[in-house]
Amino acid sequence: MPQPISRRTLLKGTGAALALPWLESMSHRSFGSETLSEPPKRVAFLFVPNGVRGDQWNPAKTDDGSFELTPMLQPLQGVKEEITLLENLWHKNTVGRNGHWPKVPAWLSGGFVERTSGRDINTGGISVDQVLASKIGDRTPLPSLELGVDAAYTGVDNVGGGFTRIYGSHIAWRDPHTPVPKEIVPRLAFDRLFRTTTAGPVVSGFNPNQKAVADSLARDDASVLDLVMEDAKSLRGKVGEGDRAKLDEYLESVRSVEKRIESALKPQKRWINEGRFDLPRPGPGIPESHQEHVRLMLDIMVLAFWTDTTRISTFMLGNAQTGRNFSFIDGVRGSFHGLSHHRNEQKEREQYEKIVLWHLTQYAYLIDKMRSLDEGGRSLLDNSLVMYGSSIKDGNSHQEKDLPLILAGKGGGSFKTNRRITAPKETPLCNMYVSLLRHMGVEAESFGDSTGHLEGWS
Amino acid sequence: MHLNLANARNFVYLTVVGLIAVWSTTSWGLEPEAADHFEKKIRPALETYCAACHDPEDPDNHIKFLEANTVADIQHLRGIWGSTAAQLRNRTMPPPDEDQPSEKERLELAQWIDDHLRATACELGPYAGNVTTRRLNRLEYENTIRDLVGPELGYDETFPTDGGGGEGFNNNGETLFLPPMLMERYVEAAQEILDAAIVTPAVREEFSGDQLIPSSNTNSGGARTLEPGMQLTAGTVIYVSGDYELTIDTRNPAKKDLRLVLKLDGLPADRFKLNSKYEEQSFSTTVRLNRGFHAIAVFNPKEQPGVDLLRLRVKELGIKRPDNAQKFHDRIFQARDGKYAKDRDAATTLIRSFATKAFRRPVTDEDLRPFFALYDRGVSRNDPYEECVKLALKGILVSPYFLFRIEETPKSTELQRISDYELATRLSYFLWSSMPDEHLFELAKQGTLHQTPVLKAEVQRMLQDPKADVFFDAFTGQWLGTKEVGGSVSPINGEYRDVYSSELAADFRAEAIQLTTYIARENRSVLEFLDADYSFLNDRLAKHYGLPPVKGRELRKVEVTNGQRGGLLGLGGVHMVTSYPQRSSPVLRGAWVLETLLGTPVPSPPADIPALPKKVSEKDPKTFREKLEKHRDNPSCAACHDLIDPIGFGLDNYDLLGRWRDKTENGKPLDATGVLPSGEKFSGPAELKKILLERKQEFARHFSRKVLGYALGRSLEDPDSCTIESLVTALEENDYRYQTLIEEIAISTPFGYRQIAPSSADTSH
Repeated sequence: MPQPISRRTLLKGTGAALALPWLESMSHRSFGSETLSEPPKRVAFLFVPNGVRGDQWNPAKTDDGSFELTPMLQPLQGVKEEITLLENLWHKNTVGRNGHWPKVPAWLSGGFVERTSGRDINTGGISVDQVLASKIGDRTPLPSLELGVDAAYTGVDNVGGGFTRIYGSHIAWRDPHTPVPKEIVPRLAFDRLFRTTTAGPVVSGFNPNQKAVADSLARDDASVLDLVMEDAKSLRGKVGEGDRAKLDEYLESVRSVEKRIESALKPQKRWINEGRFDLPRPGPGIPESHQEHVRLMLDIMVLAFWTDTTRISTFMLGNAQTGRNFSFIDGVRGSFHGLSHHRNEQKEREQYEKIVLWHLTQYAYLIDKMRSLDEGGRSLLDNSLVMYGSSIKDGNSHQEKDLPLILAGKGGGSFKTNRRITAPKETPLCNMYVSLLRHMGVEAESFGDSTGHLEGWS
Repeated sequence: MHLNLANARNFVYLTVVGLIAVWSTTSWGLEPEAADHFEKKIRPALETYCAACHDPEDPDNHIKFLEANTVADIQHLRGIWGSTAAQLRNRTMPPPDEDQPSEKERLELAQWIDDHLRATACELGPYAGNVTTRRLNRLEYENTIRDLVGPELGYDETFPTDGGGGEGFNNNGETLFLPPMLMERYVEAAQEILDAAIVTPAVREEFSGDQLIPSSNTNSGGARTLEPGMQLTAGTVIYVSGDYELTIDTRNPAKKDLRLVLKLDGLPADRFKLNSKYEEQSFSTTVRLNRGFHAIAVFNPKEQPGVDLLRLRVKELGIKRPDNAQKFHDRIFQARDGKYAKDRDAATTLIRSFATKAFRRPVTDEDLRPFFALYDRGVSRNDPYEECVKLALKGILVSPYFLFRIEETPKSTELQRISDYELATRLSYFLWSSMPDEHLFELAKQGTLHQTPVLKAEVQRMLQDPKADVFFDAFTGQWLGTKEVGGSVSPINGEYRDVYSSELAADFRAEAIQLTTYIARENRSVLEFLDADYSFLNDRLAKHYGLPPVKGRELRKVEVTNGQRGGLLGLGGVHMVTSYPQRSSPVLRGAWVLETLLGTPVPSPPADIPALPKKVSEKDPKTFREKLEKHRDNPSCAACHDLIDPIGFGLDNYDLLGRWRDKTENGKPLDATGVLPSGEKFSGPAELKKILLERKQEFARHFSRKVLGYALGRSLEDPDSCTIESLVTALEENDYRYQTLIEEIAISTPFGYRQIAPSSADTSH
């Protein structure tokens, strides 16, 4: 159980407290930063492994874009007016080969994922969240936030055709060779939101020319990184190609941490919410209850959006082929992946359905939570687009067509909800990503294997 | 390899290419044969049976072993040829509905290929390959910090998990990434580590009223009057994050009940009530202060009279440090009787010595320049000496030379010996997952480490050192998959509460590690992994296995003679890894034996196949085995399952938690007999072990391959077969003794040399 901590304690640990939104004295003026006049748009992607019950997912055909919730969508009953169903989208590059591993990195990129034990990792694309992070991520302390509940797998799935399990552990890919790891420990994720630099804040009202301020320890990390970066650069010139890639990774990471320190010293133009958001700092470790774990991580994602610490987030409700045991759900006795191969036997299919519905219930929880938070007259949800879905339609047969996908939120107000967008059969999901990128203000001619934008988006 | 397989049957036939995955029984010998034996006999025969699907000219065919037109061509297609032999032997190819070679022909072809591959393993000459610069994984980081600085802060648990690749280990350079999130953690950890190891003199600061800001011209003898609506501030530098006590001493000339607000960095941190009864009062509050500059202000609200502020004090209350902090501190500062010089000369010596160890090699002045710059940064703002040093060391701990194991870049495709410092580093991360110790550094300095007798002696010393425990732990857990036992490998919730516990899972993991540790330290034969007549048990495990009682929680070596335990196949952890959460799985077990012990890759099942029941009902008249065998009536399933399932059934006496059983779930007597595709028959684990022992060459080869892959931290390639075969030979010639393998790896070409990998090396998949 997380240890609740009092507001008073938070106040006393100023480093963490500063980023928290509800402090009475938290006004932008006292920090010399600027605020946005409009709340920003946020985007989140929630990945659920092992598919859904495909044949009971899609609502009956309609002509006007309306729909009735099918049995598989029942958990969304209370939030139906907030969602948009996406139909007939897929990634043709993921067909065949293996039911799980290569489909995960492709989910947000549409790339052709190379079979490898780890030597030549290549996902064939950059994930759409990371494209967004590289374009607009510099506006917030964290360019993007990657969350999940399962630790990254190690090793190679030889039984599954020789794919490194790294593929199945990451939906966010900075480049085709480099996954962005996710945080799974609530406390570490929480602290990450409020980790600006090891030094405390520089407060206005002090003469910045004062030696103590100018040489402040706050700049130490930046100096440290500056110096080692020089080292790394000169080293880079001396090494071979494979090693150069490793050093580039180092350099890029150093730069990104430096940027974060700099921006902490020079606050960005961010959106500051009034009001309270009660989320105590979680206790150490991972909660025993899986539901508590998932909800805590979802809360942290909402907190990150609410404090405008990031505007882009991914969330893996499980790694590919997760064997997590769901017997905590009434009537379920077995693991998710195991039950997903129900072979249409009723007893097992029923249990699989319960797990699928449980995941949608967590999505509904998130939607509801974001809907309850007001920012500037609209809700946080109204200012966001939260995609939910899987990289296979059906856990039993690994079907790749017509992926199960839902969007929630109005994306800043202009995106219509409570409808379905039924694309022509076998439309690239990447077309939707093109529309999404443009919606977020990123110019995109194409993305992945897109053939255009998504008709019916707006 | 790109394979777009629409057709499920093809999927089964897809070969997963290993290096040499053979299933041979006879030893290799070269009979005289015609020089064109391959061109005249072997290739034409294979063409007859294989070319219909594997025509090298066909763009849709990706299995291109027939591209070898001459015997010399095989050298560049070793991996796929090894797989061809394995497929033949395992009878997984040709497909059942195609023409089949006779049994004799089949074995002759496979044997010829195996023999040829082994005989020509070194034809390309010794091969070193090239190791990608490796980042320390989280375990190596934790251990290196322990040996370099001192504190053990648990980063092997709290850093993001390192993915694995190559031969399946998480020390594989190619798959050790450094994302920004980890860089953040490195920067933060460096501070934490140094704060925990360096005892900076405690802060105790006092500001008199007239030292506060805004400053005043009037000399008030120390006190300052805080007029209504006014705020006085002190700026203080905190070096070490922790709890601090802030105290203000006040005088209340108006003798009224008043209140003051204490602000920290602009935010109200506490409110004090001044009691009219007292003229002078002190107030304290405890705050958590991060490293950095902090503004502490006292504010007098408008609607009340002035208050005199006499003093403001800041006092360090407590910094959490490990018990040994002073010891670490004295070691870093090279203190004698707790005393050390605090000048630039001392700092120079200290920083040089620290960097030498941290970078695992001698350093140049140029290397040190950035760290002196950091030291000087501290000096220029009058930081305490310890803090100046700390800043320099922080730079070292986030330097690429520390976080990565950087070796010199190979200059050509010619073999080039690595330096003795590099060798010391390779060796210590192989066996200790940590930096070299003084002794290794000394040998490197003398330049003698690479001499075979010296190297062998070091291997002996290092294996016996307790630091080698981490190798047995990390290697065994990842090789066998038992690392996951108790984590992602757990039985269904609640169902087994009376027998299964996380303590039992920990015992299972420890049992596997103890077996490796014993075989390694006692220099036993690696074949004891297959047929040891002993186990490592404690009271709990002995009870769980139904063996005579063992006293105490400590695992100890126990003779086992009932044929149920001993060796890897008797480990409860292995039985769990090869089970589903609700039942044991002959298929998983068979595949595990093939892949983990013999290195025979098992192809993935096609999508959309009818799977098996998750749990066998007690009422079901058919046993699980009968159902599974039914499944093998389908010839395209049978090709692989005829190989996999019998082995799995041989282990069916173990339930999903590793307990022995004689009956199936529905109460029928358990049938643990099996027939391998080769016709070999067995019943139960004891006989299966005997068959596996006959495959000792395959086991020795696969085990060598695994340990070599772990030692090198890279994927193995076709030309590495030369090294692998020489390891197998060394094992064969030395009674399969474990330490022989480690010594031979330490003196092997890829471990001690580097080169730009020749392009021909790039044929593995």
